[in-house]
Amino acid sequence: MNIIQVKNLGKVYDNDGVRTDALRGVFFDIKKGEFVAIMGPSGSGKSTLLQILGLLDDYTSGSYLFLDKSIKTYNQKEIAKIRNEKMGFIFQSFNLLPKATVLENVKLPLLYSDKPENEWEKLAREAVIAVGLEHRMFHEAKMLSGGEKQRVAIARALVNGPEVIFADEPTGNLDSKSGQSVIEIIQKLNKELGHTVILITHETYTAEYAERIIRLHDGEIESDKQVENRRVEGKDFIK
Amino acid sequence: MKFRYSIKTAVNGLKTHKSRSALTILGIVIGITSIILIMSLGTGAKDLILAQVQGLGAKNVIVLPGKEPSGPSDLASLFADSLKQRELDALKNKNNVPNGRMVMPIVFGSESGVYGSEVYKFSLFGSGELMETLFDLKPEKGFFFTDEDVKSKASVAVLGSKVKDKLFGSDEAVGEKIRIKNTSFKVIAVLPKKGQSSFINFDEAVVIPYTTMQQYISGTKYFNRIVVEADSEKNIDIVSQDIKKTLRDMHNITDPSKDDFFVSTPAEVAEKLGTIFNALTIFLTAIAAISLVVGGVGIMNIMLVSVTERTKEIGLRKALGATDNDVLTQFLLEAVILTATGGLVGIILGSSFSFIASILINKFAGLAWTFSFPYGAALLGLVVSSLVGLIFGIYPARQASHKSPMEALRYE
Repeated sequence: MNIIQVKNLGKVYDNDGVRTDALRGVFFDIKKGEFVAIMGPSGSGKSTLLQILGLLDDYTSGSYLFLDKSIKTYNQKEIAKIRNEKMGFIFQSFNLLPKATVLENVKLPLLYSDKPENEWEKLAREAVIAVGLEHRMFHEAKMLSGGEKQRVAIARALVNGPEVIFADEPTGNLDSKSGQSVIEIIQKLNKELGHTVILITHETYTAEYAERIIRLHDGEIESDKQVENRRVEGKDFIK
Repeated sequence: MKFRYSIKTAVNGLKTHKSRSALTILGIVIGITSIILIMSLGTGAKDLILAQVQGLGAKNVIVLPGKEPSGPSDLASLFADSLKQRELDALKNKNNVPNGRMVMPIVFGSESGVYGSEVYKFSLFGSGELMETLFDLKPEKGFFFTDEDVKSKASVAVLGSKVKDKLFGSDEAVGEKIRIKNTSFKVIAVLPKKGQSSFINFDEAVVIPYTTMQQYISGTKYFNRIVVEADSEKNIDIVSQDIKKTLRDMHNITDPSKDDFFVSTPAEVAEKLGTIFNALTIFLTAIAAISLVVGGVGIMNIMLVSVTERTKEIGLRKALGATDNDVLTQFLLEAVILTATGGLVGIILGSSFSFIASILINKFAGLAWTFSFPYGAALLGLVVSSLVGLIFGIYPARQASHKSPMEALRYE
């Protein structure tokens, strides 16, 4: 089953009359449970693609079906609901509320959801435990290290049980050690919990944790291949 | 998002920037404080004046010569001579004014008194012996003059406490003689210190028989006032009507607008003063309200800065599923909670200042000033401050809600 179907997708930025083609004629499908990395140099349109897929931005031409339904048929409220229930976001710069605790940060998507209030605490705690931060549960987000912050962001992306997790350069602001632990957690989300993951990165090393790599260049797909020697970490990192 | 969580989110947002929030509401605090203070002090002043009017004697109907004064500069009544012995006698007649119990004329002026080398200027009242009862002037020393003194035009004087102090210092005054306008008066009584208890400050007054005053001091035949005490408060209107009828009959007046006298009751005076005070209070409140508008603009300014500064947070919330409405509600609530808090602080400060003022006025001005918590003004203050938040918060909140999540997230 395809979660995402993109056909002839195009995006044009219009900055005061200067038109820039950020994406041109992009086609691909992403199946449920897939782990796809989107790679490309800066300016290749990979962030734009992720924002369109994550319903954070609009596209200019072509079509985008999410769960077999064109997103053009949704209104602003429904889109907010899809972002809340079906999608989880992990950003390069974490985007946590600095003065809120780890648990509060993870709870944030639940505040906007239809999930019953009495489950919020349990869901949030489970998500925090899943990323191995139970000892940081009540710490303010700003007190955490970069790696820990990104794990909080992963827990937040996870808490509402999304269909797809979008990760935009999740290791970009991290040292190699915490970066590796973060990408291993993301891989685990895909392999063990069955979440579809779409990862954006410019590092081949990180991209090789995925099963499939889509390479973009100047807004067009350069290649779309399965990873032959997939990088898999053997040891358990989810306690 | 449930409203309860919207409030929680807004409160958290404000808590995150405590000192900025506090500074932002300063304008509202000052505005509401001044409104509460003005309204509370206005009420206090009004009550005080009304109490003083009542102090003139709630049952006393006062007849003034001349037309009803149309303004404070209307001095004509000082020289009008429509009230003389003939009118006094008519009003004393029970057939004319059956509910009038006591009737007494007053003549007044400003004179200087001399004792030894001391000279002091005071208000001189020429009245009947009933003055003691009507104005509650029981002497501290000596006895008030009598009916006999009035009839015989006796040269006797009752001194107010300050007049006594100025002329005699700590020496005994009763039995001594003072000179007023070349006439020697025997001091027969000294009044206790009364303070500014009514419109007349008896501390700085000297009271002598009105007959004596007319004969030796003013040289006139007319009275400045005739005071008629009604037998009960509820008969005040009847007495007032009877007086008007009697005097109109005597002066052959058919058209009330041509009256050459004017009857004033404490209730009427109170009503007029009340109107003046209300108008003054509204005027001052309106001026104070301007500061609320200024405060509101300040709120809008800071909210706009806050929206810009928190662009990333807005983007994040939207990415996590917040609708435009959720974001709008959050920022609008922040503004309203901010201003309502300012209003609340203003109400507390305003009433505290008003309370302190009432204590100080009592202590240092010796006035019977009463503090009353202005419930109406407090409610108004709370509603107005919340409205200011709503009105000036809507624009920044809309700005926030219309931010594109992608651009907001990219914002650095």
